Amino acid sequence: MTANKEQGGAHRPLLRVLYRELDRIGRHRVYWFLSILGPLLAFLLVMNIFAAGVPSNLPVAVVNQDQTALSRQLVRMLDASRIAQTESKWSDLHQAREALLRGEVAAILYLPKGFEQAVLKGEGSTLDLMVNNTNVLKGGLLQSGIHRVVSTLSTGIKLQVATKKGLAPELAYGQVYAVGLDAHVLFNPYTNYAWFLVTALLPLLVVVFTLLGAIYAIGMEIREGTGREWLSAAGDSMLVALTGKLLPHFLLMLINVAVMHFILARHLGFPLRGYWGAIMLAQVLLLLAYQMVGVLLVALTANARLSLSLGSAYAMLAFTYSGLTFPVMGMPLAARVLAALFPYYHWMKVFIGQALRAEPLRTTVLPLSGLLVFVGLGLLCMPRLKRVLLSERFRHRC
Amino acid sequence: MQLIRSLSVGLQLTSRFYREELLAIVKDTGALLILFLALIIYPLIYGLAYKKEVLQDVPVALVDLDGTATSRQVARMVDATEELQLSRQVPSLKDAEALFYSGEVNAVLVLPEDFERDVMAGRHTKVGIYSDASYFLLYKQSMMGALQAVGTFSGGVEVRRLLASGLPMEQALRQRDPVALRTSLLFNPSGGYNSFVVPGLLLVIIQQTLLIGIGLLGGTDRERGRFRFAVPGALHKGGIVPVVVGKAGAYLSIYLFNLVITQVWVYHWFSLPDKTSWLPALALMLPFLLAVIFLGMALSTFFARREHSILFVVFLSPLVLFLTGLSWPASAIPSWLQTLAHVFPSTTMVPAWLRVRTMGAGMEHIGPALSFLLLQALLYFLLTLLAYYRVARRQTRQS
Repeated sequence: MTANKEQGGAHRPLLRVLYRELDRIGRHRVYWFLSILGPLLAFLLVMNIFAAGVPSNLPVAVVNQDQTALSRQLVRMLDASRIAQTESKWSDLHQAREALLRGEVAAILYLPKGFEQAVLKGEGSTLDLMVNNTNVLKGGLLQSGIHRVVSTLSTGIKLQVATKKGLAPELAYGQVYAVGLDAHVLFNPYTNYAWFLVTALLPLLVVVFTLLGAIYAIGMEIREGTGREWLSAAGDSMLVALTGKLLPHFLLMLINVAVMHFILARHLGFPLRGYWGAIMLAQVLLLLAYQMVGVLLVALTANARLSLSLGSAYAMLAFTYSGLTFPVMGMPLAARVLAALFPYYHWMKVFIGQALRAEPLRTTVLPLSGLLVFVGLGLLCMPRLKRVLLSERFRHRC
Repeated sequence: MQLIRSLSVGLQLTSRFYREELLAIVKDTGALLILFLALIIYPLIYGLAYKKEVLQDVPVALVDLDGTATSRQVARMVDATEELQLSRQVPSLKDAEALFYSGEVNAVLVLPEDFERDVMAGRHTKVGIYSDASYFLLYKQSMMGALQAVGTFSGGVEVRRLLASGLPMEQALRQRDPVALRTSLLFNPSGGYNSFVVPGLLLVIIQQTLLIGIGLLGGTDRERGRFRFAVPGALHKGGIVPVVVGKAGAYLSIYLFNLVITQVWVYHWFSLPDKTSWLPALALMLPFLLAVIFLGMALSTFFARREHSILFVVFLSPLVLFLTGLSWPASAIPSWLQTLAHVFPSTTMVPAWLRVRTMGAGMEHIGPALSFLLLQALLYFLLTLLAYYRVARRQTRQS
């Protein structure tokens, strides 16, 4: 009977802290922004920015000094391609270059005088393509897109010549196009860049809000000098105090995570080839890890504002180290070591490994334990956080 | 006489607010971190990650099912590309798959059986490449490398066939490719990642740290309930101007110093492309900084707490970056969002700045962007005056 009562008493502090936190959340709209409105708004913006999927109809200046049927055919073929949209109002290279510098066009294609004649005579002609590679993504797309159009034209002409010589179409094809590339794109059917960016951005936004939310919720206790009251509500247990405080934020974050996975699976067609459970476990650990990084920052700096500054930088930098834009394996050693210091990096390994690549389960052990290390670090900082909360002097540091 | 006196009083006040603001920044660790340190740390960490600029020598497993001189020649050509490196050779696709999953290789090159025979017989044949598309650049590099090597090999075979049909060498070369394309990649010929991302990123960092930093300081004033400019006379005609100008001057001084770090040192450290002439660069940078500063000041009056500037501005940073069109083409962004994005000066500044710094554009190429930024700076200055006036009036009423 007594044991039972004691147990009941032990549960009550947690509920007390929980109610206290729910009350705080209800009273300050900023928590609403941090845990629901902000992430959802951010998701909405990201989805709109990348709604087009693939960039298309990039403006290309065509300086056509030939003006024959063949050159006009090439221009029509370019216009029909997805990537390019030609503009022919510039009569010489200098004018086209000025347009490039004004940012009006992204590339210049120069068709020399006598182009058609040279091709018909069998002499061949060389066209000049100048691509603005300031934006490597745009430059790469234009380069390969225009190259494809021109080589289609070129191969067509060769085929015509070969069949005129009396070769059967099949043989002619082998004659003019000896060895092709049979490309197998593994794991990811959508090779557009937007897909990668969205996949990296959505979890990043979740991470930003999780970390800042945790820091803000804990930091405000120090700042307002309510730390002692918070602890006593938790029966002087730091673990109970933190559990009660962070649990509501964690649960609200789960809603965002659910929305994110819905977008990834339904809207972006993200496959699930591996284990759903591993991804969800990693997701939960990711949230916990970032909350615990928040605990660590507040405990070490004892300063809400400084923690928020540090935390925002820390959360944001993780994007670079997701490897989805530039793979981590291609970075210098120092950067590869640095990557392991971001929970986001470990999560991305599990997520890509399980969702896309169907890797065996054992490959998730290392990244999952990496996430656990961050949770552990946060727990280790609890005694220090308790001291900070109980001491009066930190209040004035904020 | 009256005019001169009020002007000199205004100037005195301005310099007082200028000094006070600088002092407030120096005394504030949070603000110092954002307004100074972040501008050194961020570029360094990003720059470090992309230091190698391009992804080279992606490890590839070779499965040579033909095993002839011809197939070995193709393999050597793939190995010789900048993008790919044949790191392992295995007998079957199954072995290659194991290497692939263990992460030892990121692509697999397959040369089919009878490859040599098909080539000799003049039949069309194909070389297989399996590339890992779960990471974008790995996919791109393995495709590019394979395409280049196989294309070159194919060209050679086609020329030999034409030679065999009795054409002289020169004509064979011409007939091989009747419409040849000579491509020059301008301004960032190697497609370096640092040169691509960092110049624009620096501007976004400048803007976001200013917005957050000014918010932190502005929030402080409000919290302590004593807006420092709420001095007697602040509400008289033009009384608010010295406050706004003085504070803005303080931020501007700090960021002129930061420009040395971000626009000179970082460019030097990472050898970023630089074809700048100083006049258009300066002409863009000043209105950009002023527009950002005044936007930050106007915004700061809305933050009830200093921390809020971080909460509300940080999450926008990656979005603002993509809205500039730096890596994602602006033309692919829905037009309503593009219009909205022009609230942030970076949306106008980044493309114009890249043209000036990376491409060497002059004053005649940046006209529309420049006038937009000038107008924006002026508009945000007026907005700041209005916002400060509103707060000052509320506070004098309270006290």
